[in-house]
Amino acid sequence: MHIADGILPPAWCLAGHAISLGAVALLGRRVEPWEVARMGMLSATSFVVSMIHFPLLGTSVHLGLFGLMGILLGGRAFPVIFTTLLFQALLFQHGGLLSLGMNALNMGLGALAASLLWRTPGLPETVRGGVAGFVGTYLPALLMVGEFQAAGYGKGFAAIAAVYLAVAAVEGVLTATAVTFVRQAKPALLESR
Amino acid sequence: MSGAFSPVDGCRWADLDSRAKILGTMGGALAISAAPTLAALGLQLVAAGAVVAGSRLSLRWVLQRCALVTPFAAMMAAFLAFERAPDYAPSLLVLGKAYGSVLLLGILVASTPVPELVAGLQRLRVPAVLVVTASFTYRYAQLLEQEWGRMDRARLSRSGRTPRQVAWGPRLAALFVRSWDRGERVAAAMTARGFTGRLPVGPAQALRAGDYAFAAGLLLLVLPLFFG
Repeated sequence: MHIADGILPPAWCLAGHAISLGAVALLGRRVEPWEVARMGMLSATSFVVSMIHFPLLGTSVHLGLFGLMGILLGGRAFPVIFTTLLFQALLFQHGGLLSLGMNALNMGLGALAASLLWRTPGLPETVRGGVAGFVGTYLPALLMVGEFQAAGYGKGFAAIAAVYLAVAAVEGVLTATAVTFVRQAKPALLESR
Repeated sequence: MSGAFSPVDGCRWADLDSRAKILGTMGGALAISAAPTLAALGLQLVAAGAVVAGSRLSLRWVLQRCALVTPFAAMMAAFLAFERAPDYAPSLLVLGKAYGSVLLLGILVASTPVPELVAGLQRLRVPAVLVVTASFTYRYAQLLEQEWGRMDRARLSRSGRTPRQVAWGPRLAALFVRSWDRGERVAAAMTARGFTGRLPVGPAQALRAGDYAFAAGLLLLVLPLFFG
């Protein structure tokens, strides 16, 4: 799901950087100094988790858990995801420096959408967690596919969206079970945002 | 993962200022990304290849780095080839641009330790929250990877089950909970020491002629856009 450099037009990449860094600066203003250590720790966790690969349809995918990040961190998930993606680009060449803004925007929006869904009242917590986990992964995939189509890569690319349905379903189940575990082990995490 | 955080020994550009390397890499990648023709891109790739050759990086290291981007770049090129057939130039352009950017990013990563990169970002006025989060990520990622390994060993010693047979969600959530707790402890310790939300960095040294030359050299990759 990481867009590499050279794939999207440079103007889009610059716009992605401007919007993402603007969002980071805006959301970062409200971050208290004592929160930064927690955010950094969860960024490191997200980075470690992203190295766990699952076999899927003959290839392998790695976890993103943007939905869980949105649930745990709310809007603060955006700078955390930006940082995780920066390290993935630098160390593992997942994405690139130029496309970092677009990648952060896609995945950060997924986390923000998950955060909003998590707060939707009236549904059991496990269901909300599952839906948030699904949307946290699938929305970035849809955004990416939309960007590729707009950039002229053809309608065939929409087939990738179908593959990501399976990935998002896995993430939804994982997030639902993770939320259930966190509720039992440390409920304060779910209520801190 | 431990090796991934280390720059490559003997890389020629290691002594240069990280700000020059970051700006040069971004500018060079932007220029490559804007290449309109295969001729222009070819000139850029030759120039980027020359910088890599001058870096004293091993061919194996460079190829491994390129291999990482191959699945994604090849897939995009294939989609474009189907869409634009029989004109395959756009497809080749995408491939070349992806590899060109990898070369430049490789130089940055090979020559710059992560703490220097983070300090460079701070001096380039990247939002403080990003810089501090990046610093924490670097400091604790390896520790948390070891923690994940310890959790795995503990689980195996207790249940003897293989990883596929256990619920991944609670295992991952347990890592998040442990990280959160560790974050609380670190935050308390840092607050007690007067942490204000910004990392202390030493005074920025003035850029030297070599720094300017390196950044300018990479920014010259823009020239083939006009003459290629």
